[in-house]
Amino acid sequence: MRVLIVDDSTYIRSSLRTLLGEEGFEVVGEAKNGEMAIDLAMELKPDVITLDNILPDMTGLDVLKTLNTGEFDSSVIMISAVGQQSAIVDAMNNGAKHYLVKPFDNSELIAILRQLDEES
Amino acid sequence: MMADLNDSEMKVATKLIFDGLSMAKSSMEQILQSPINIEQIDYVNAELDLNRFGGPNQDVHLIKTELMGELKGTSHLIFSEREVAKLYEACLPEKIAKDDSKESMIMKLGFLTEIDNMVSAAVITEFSNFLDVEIYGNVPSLKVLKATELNEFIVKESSEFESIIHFKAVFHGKELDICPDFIWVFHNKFVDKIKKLV
Repeated sequence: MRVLIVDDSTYIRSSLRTLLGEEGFEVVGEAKNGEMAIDLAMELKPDVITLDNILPDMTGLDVLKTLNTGEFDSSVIMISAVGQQSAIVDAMNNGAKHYLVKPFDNSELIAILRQLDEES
Repeated sequence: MMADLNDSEMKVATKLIFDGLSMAKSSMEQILQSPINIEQIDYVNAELDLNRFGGPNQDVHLIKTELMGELKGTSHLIFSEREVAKLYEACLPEKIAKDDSKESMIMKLGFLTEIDNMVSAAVITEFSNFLDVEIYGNVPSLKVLKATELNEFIVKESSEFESIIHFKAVFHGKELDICPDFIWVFHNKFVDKIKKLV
């Protein structure tokens, strides 16, 4: 399963890359802002995008909405410290498959990825 | 100011702040994988005790998150130099914790800002859900100051708001031997929101 990681934090991107690599997932790219995320999502067409909600140039929700206007069929897992009910509902209404609030258990993310892998 | 609240409003405000800080405490415990207590909560802009930082010329790591949306404010999570070293040692892989290369330093500072990001967001989530306001924290920023500059910095930050609400918590991680300060400054609109609720 090919994964694109979107987070402004180098620490989070690196931690996720290590975790996903150890669990057998292929990290095909990393984006540190929304514009880069949209470009890489279109170019790499990953199976899954892990998408932070607060990015320096736009929100993760904006990224999701932009991607939805094009030919886009990656599964999106929002991973964010933003845990408001309204943010979660907005993300799910705009096509996010899952919403994980940081800090989260790594096993939870891996279980979601395995589930998405089985469904695909 | 908090003094503008009557008794019942004050009860709601202090419960909300306590609940928010409790969520922050839980987040910090989960990130650091170590128990954390809330040692003290103050509702006034008391000066920070600089002795805990190990001397006036010691470096202090202050991570600031600016509140965006319907309520304006800022949060500041503050660690001493000694605490930062302990966090790196306890929470990061050894090859990063003991390495001073540019890449490892980026990871270390990223780790600190992520702690603040998650801990601040826990408070923001609690406030947003309870007060029914659209608020979120901007990308956190890290400043390294001398201990002697700290109180002045907080006062200057507070002066950006015409009327302000302060609250401050001291967390204590016994196992990690850390006592970070967690300071919030809110615009007075916070009080208006509480008054509308009660």
